[in-house]
Amino acid sequence: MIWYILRRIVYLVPTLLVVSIIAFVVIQLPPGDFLASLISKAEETIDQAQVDALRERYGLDEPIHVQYWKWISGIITRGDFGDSFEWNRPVSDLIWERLTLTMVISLLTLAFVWILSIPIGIYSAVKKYTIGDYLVTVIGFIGLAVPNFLLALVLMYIAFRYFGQSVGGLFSPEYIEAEWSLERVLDLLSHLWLPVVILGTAGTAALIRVMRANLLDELSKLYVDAARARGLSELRLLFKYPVRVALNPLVSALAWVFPALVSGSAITSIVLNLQTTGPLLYRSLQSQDMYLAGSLILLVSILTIIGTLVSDILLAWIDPRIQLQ
Amino acid sequence: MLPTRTKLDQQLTADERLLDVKDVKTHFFTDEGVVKAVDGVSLSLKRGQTLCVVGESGCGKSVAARSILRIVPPPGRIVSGAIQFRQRDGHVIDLTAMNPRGRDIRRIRGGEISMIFQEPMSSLSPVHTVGSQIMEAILLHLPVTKREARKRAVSLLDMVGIPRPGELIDAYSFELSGGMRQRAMIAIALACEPQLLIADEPTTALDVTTQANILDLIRDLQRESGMAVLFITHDLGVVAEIADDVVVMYLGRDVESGTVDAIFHDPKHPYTRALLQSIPRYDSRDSRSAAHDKRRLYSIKGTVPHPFDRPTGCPFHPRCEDFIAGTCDSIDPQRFSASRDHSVRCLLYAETDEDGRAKDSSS
Amino acid sequence: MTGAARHSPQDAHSLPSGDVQSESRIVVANQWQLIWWKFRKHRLAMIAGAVTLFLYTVALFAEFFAPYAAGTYSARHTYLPPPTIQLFQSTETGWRFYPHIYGFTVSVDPDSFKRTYVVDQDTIYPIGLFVRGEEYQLWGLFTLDVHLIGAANHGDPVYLFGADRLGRDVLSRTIHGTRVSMSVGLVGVGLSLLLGVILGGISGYYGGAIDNLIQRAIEILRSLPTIPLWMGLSAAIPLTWPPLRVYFAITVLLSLIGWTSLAREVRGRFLSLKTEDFVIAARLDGVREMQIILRHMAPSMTSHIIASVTLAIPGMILAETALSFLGIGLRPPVVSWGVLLQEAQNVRSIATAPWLLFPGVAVAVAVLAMNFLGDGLRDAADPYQT
Repeated sequence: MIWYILRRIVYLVPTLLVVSIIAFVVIQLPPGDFLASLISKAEETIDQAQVDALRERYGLDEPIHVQYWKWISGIITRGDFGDSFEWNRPVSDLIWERLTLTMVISLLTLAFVWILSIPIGIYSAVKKYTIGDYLVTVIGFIGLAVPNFLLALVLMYIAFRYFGQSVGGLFSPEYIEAEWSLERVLDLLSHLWLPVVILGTAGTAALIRVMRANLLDELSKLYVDAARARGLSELRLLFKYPVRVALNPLVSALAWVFPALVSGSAITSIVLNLQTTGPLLYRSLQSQDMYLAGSLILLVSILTIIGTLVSDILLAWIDPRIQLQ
Repeated sequence: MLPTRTKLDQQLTADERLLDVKDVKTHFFTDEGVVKAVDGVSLSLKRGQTLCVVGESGCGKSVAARSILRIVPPPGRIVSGAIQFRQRDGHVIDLTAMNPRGRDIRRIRGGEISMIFQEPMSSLSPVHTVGSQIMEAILLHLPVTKREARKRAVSLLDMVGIPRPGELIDAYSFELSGGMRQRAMIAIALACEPQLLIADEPTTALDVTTQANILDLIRDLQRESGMAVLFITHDLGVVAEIADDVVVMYLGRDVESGTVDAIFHDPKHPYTRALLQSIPRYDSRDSRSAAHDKRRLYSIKGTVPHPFDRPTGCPFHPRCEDFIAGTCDSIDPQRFSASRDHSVRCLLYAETDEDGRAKDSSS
Repeated sequence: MTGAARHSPQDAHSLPSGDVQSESRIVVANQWQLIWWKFRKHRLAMIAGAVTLFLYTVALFAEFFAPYAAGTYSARHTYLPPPTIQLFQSTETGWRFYPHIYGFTVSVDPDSFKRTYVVDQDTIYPIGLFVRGEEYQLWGLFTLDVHLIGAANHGDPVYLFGADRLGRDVLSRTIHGTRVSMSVGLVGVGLSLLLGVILGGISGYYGGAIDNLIQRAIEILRSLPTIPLWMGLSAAIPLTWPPLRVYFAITVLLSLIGWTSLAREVRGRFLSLKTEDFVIAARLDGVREMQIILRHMAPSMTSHIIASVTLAIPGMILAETALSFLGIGLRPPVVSWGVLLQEAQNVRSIATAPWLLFPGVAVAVAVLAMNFLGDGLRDAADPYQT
């Protein structure tokens, strides 16, 4: 098991390298170097010494791989992600709270998805071709088909139209800039349910289908009959054997559900105006605040990669067959 | 207090019937129509005896076996007939009357009747150790602690010939070979000393040497424990080796049943005769002539009919060499007795009484 | 000893005739027939297939299906709500079938310039099928003026699903958007398929180090959060590009990240087929490699690939919609469902004109239909399995 984990961690290195390169490419993509856009955007003229200092810091006159090296080594050794021009602050000042919120929302949604999809999936498989099963299937498909942001819009509209309240955001106005306190956490929790539900629908629908299909596969396996033939009751049989085996692919589904959640939260957050990485990334892309944008893409990617790693290790832990391979 | 099994008890009841399957019909109600997988099977089994059920694949022998334990998968269902089973306490119960999910049948399963399956590869859970599955069977039926159950599991593994049982009890099924898995399945099946072991083609998926080993094992264990065995196979060689009695099945019915001697030396039903003829022979006496004789191996003409298209009359008539036009395709044959303990379902043996109906020997 | 046969049991008339027929039917049916038979049983998938076919037909003949051109606007009808369609009209002699909508009167708030419409039952605008309206060019070839549905008298303000901020017909724009949205999925998946089949095929066929490399690459791509990445990449598309080039850039972006699942599917099939007896038999018979791939392996993979392609299209449609919705995908004047939904980006505009969400319904229907269709296809793809 330890060897398996170590091997997975070693595999992580090239992945992280590729991700950092992609993020760097995103930073470099807009035409012209960012200093040009900085100068054009600045309200007052920036003196030449300042420009030269920046040029030196980011290595803008040097070849591209040197620039990459300056950027990445700054991140690794000093935690220096560069500066955001729009906010005129170091990127690292801006992102951590948002990243934490993104993770909190994603993890809560994940828990929500699991808690809902496993029992419903089991029900749907055990009662297959009943009205309940069809109902679950249809609702599940609709959940898959409606884009998250559309769902967010519709729910916001309903809340606005029939309850007369605006449900966007993660905090009530008085807490947005407040220091962390118990009240602020409670306020956050009271706002979280909507994004969690919205983000969770597609994942829940997908996992219900995965769970149902897997369980149906497992239910027809011989070991189920064998266990039944030794006198196990139906309920214990169901949970001890087929459900247990059918959960494995669900754990490995984490590997794609988690990136999808983080990814989906980007757009939903923009619509719901949540203080997560999504809206910040959106703004930074629009204003070509490239160091902020690149850093966000890098960090969000790294977090999803770590999520994938955790799910792989979890899977190896619950399925003894994996480690053998 | 009811007496438990004693030597005396066993002797007294040695000739008693343990299992009586009476005209059981198990049908599958699919969207396309009703598949009559088992359509009137009768068989009986005495204590400590071995009964072999033979037939081509698809003749319903597995479904018949599953019907006894009430583990027919949906949409299958027993529609009529009775399965009488004499419990250890001497009570005779009808298994078909039980709720297939109820507590009563679960006490029988694994406790009084055990079953092993065709594919040892998939009859063990992929994510549980062998030991945990044996212990589960023990703990379900016997009043023992976990520690005792584990001890018993180790000795069971030892009994079925698994090497290093103390170690392999914690092995997963994918760490064992096919033969070892089937041994483990047998260990699970025998965990609570059942009165009857149903073996559904337990050697089909194994290679020839392992087959012989498993057969020997079953026979030895049977001798030691005195349990009865219902052995399902399509391999007549296996039948000759282990059976006391034989039931030949065709299209969901018993077409002939009798002692192993009667079936092999005096087969009555054209289907049984055809089956026996299609065994490749290599007698030393005939070997020289056989070398010159370029006759093809005998095979039964035609194929097993489509399940939705059962022939009228005798189900075997389209493939029968002794087909009587106008009779076999219209009259459904009853069981006629050829001799004591030997019955056949074929109109060739009808005792033609005045109304053309023969008396049913099975009842 | 064989008993003398008194009758040949093989006499055809002694067998039930249905048996012979069904038997021979099974013998001659080829793979695609079997797939079709199996698919046909899947009623939901059949309906979904019809809906999908309908959507693509609409995409092909958008100008005919839509009452107006995509850009037709009318400042006098901004945010005109959808009318109730009246199918019958009462006359002295009773009711007669005369589909129409009522007219309206407008009042403009002098401060906010907000227009308020009040239904006016005295004005009647008849509507009809195959009506003459604006002229259009179908595929740049034919000049026509027949529209499937619209105002019976050319020029009447008939906006069946309401009008938007500039007084453009929501229904017409949604219909025109079908073309771009549905084709983005198709083109994007086509590109992904190309990448997926080539890379997945190489991976599955050669195995070893190449396989390992490609698999790592796929794993990396799959563990990335796609939407932030798409956002980053598509934000870099210069604003000065012409719409068509943006369209292709977006589809390329979508397929660059979307090919992985198809590649996995292809590789998996390749690996399992490679060890199938019929492939080994062909190889032992000395059939050339290319021949083995084309004649023996490809046919048993095609059905699976079609199924996975169908299941991949909805993802592409959703991605395009999301990007365009945010304003970093396709941009006006291109009309796609995502672009249309931009109009409904905040609660305020939805509260004024909820009908602006109608393109969202189209997205949901399209995605739903293609999911069901793909599901049915996947089930039918293996006709030999029961």
